[in-house]
Amino acid sequence: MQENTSTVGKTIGIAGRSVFSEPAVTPDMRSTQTSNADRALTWFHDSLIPLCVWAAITLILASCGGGGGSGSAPSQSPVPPVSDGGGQSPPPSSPGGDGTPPPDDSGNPGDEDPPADDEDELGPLTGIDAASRLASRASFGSDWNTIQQINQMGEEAWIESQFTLPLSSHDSVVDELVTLEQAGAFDELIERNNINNFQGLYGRAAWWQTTVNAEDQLRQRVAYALSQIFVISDSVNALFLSTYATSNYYDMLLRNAFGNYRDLLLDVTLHPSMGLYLSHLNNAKGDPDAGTFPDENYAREVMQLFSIGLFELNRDGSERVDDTGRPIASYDNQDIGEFAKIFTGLGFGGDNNRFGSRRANFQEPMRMFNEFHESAEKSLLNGVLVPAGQDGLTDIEAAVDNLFNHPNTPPFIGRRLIQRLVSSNPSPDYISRVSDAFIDNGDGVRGDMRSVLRAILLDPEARATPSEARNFGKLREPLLRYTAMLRQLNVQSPDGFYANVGNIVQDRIQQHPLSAPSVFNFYLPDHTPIGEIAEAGLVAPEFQITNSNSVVEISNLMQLAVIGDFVNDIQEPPFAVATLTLSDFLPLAGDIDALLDRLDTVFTYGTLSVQTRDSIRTLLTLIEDDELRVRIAAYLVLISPDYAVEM
Amino acid sequence: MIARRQFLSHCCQLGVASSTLGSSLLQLGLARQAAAQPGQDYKALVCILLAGGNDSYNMLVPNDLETYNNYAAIRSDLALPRDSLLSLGNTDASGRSFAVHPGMPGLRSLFDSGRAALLSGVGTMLEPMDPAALQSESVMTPLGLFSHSDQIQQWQTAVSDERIAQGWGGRLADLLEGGNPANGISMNISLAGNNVFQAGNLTSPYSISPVGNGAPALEGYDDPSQRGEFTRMAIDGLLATQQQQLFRKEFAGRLSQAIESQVVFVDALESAGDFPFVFSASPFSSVMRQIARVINARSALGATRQTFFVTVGGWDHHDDVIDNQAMMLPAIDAGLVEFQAAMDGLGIAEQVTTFTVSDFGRTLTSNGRGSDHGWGGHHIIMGGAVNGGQIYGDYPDIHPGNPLDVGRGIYAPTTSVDEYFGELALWFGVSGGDLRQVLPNVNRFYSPVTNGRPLGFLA
Repeated sequence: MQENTSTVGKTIGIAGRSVFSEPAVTPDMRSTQTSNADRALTWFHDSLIPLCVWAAITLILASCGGGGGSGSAPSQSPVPPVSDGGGQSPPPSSPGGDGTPPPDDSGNPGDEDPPADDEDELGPLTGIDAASRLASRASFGSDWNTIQQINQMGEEAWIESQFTLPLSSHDSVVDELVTLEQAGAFDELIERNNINNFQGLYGRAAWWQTTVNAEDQLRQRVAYALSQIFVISDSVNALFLSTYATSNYYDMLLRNAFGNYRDLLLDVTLHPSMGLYLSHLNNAKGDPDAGTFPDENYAREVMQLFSIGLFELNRDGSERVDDTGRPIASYDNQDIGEFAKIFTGLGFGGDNNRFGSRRANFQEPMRMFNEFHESAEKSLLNGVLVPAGQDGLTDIEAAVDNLFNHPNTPPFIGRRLIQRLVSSNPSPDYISRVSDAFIDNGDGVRGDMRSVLRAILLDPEARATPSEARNFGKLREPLLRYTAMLRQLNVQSPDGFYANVGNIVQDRIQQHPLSAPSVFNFYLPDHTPIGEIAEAGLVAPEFQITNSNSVVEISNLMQLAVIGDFVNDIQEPPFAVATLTLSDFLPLAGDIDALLDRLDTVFTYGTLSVQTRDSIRTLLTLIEDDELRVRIAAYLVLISPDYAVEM
Repeated sequence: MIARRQFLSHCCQLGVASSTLGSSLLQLGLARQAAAQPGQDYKALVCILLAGGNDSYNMLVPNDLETYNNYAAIRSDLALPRDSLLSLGNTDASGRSFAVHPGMPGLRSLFDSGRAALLSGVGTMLEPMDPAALQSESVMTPLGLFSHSDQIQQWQTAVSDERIAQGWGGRLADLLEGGNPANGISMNISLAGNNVFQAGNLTSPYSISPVGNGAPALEGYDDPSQRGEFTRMAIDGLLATQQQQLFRKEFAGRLSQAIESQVVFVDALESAGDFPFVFSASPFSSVMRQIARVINARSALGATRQTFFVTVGGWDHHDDVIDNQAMMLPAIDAGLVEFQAAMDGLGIAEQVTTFTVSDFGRTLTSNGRGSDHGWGGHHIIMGGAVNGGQIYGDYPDIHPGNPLDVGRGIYAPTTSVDEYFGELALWFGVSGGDLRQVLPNVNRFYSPVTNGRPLGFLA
């Protein structure tokens, strides 16, 4: 495990609104030279919300006598003019109400494969809202046009089409940045802002540019989900500072996102960034004379976190128990010792020819140095023996196969992916169906990621009509709230390069890709907030990073972006200021109900509650300026509890 | 508050549902009145989590030649040179002498001046363990022993036979303030976000940051201008909606509570007196400084009991343990010394006890570069109420064949976390009869009704 402090990064307010920012404080654990201040890319960003904006509000309030001039009751539920093609399904009705009728098939229960879940006779969500919901799960947020395309294609067809799109590589963006750097393009920027280690930001810049703009959204989103299972973190300086350390790792995840889990696990195991993070890079066999043993770090985490987990599982994800009702450990410390022997002998790859060398190469898999590999026989799980004297890589493949074929792996990985993409609390049946898709893709192939992803995204439980009573879904990760906002409010950069390195975002919300505080990610899969959620027996991982501090900061970040139009943190030449063009919403600014319909469809796929909608509507009537009305409407939707949780 | 009152009438005019908001404001007012009473009976616990599993056998090291040699033999390349160690004045009960890591001169002087104690061989246990039985594997051992996620959790929950989400700090708060904290701000204050230690059944911690006054305002919300008025109208309107879906309800609750608490908290910090104490700029010192500031504002906050939780990560030293500890322990040392000086300066040293926890100790054997996951370890307790200058618990005799060694130089603990935390909880004011509410398994190790303090490190 690797950890850094969860100490909140520094934010110093200037004149109350500007932001001076540096990344979350991360004491260096490995390479020792650079101080935190050096790591940081810091300069001032003027994030002043344009004065004219607030001037406009002031005028409005003045003109309606301090607001609320119209007195009167809250606007009764407006009649939504059906805009944009798709039918606007009304928000779900009050709790205990008879639920909204399913839009389409009101068919008899039981005749054609019913959503296997007890309480919902709700049937699948259809139409534009279903398309928008899929976009919410399977992309980093899709704009109105893309949602319409998904609607036209159908969910299945869209997923298949995403499978065929070419991979948008992060390494190649880093390549471009390196080329520019070598041509001196950043000299002035670096000098003017006194930036150290600018190359430490290329991987981050590649992530933002690609995530916001790439066509292969599903692949990118799945890689991001995988990055929260197979965790490495640039909180380790060597990974932060080394160009390609994070981008190449991410490309590896992208490559395997639609491949096979077995290859994924092998590639993760052999990637130097993982080797560095979990210290099986340059891990030598034990030395009886010196009394040393192989490092157990990777051996433990590859089992606990990347494949089978601590306890034996049923196919539906539930824990098996022994006669006394206790869970059964999947492995013991002796097994750890055996696996630790397997992961010995790996050094940097490429043209490196010396075990123990620190000459980093993050673009080639680690290389086996058999002299440093433990050659004795090893016993793996479920009675599998690895004979003595084999080539080290053969040993590693045997260990990967051992974990790949373990009965825990399908439900373990399946549940984690469901949690990242769809819902915190999938039913055992849902997990079981995903396990089935892992075990056999229909052609007898185990571990086919496409089969798993289809099963996750197209499961009847996932596609059921949202209902407030169902407690399905999840709290959106702060980071995904931010990326969706960018894409859905039509972010644009004059030169086509969205120049962001996520410093301000991470500073505020404690989340950035490949930057978790430890190998246990930003939150644990079973985190349960006390109170009603715990009483209902539910988990809600994302609430682990939702506290009195961060819950305010994410709202402020949204305000900075949506009202302040401040959305990227490298704004100086050769980079440029990005802006939210709001192009899918501005044309509707004059019609408040149409605007709210559009926002509801794009952001909350028809799940904005009547009360939330009314409360926003009331305010919008006070605002005369069109653009401001759109910005405030979007801001309020984005910070609403309705948007925070996708059901 | 004027702006808020204005807003209140304002939102009624608009017909925005105001019942929840109005009533919570009312509660706030009542709480403030209650808080006006001076709280002289104040105590605080400061819990420092060294996340990742500190290699504490290199923090507290045997110093007399014989014991040192045994240590050096098993630690191999991880042994610290004897002449680099900072020797402690006192010997332990069996006459052995000890030293601390060369990077911790502050700890040595706190120890020697009686303001810090060390506790040896402490860890998670299900029952008292007979070393022989340990070897025959006939004792029950904690769930997920050696695993970070389980052990880091159990060090916070003090429950090792099941995975629960509530920590003993949370249960302390459940017992002492229930769901009704003074001023609406929990007695449990976290500088590490949500955490297990401070989560109770009725209470969750209040999270602050080391920056500024610790709690960010919702942008524009406290603006006295009309901009602020508009913002309040918007936000309060949004949060007044009745959410049905549990996650939405939870989120809305957290946001409203954060907005309300922020005002109270920042007022309290700003109204507290001078804070002339000097802290280093390191992240750990900044956090300790913020805790000291909150303690300084205890009266304004209406607090009589508080716990603080700090996480310092990065202790999972499978490699480079020597270099990394040499870099990281001095930062801890400095933060402890600075914090204790502030407590002394505020005249409140007797009322604040600071202690460390960590996932586990580590293997005494080396993996060639570092150490792997272990079990028992050593910890620091600091404060004016500490019977300092002593090593409590049992530092194991390190030698081949010691039955406490369960393999690879993993030494089983001989003192349970239940006893460690029991001592702290009793000092904090929990009665012997109530102790099990905080530490459900403490009776397996210690009888709070008949015995005195479990370990005796606190006055």
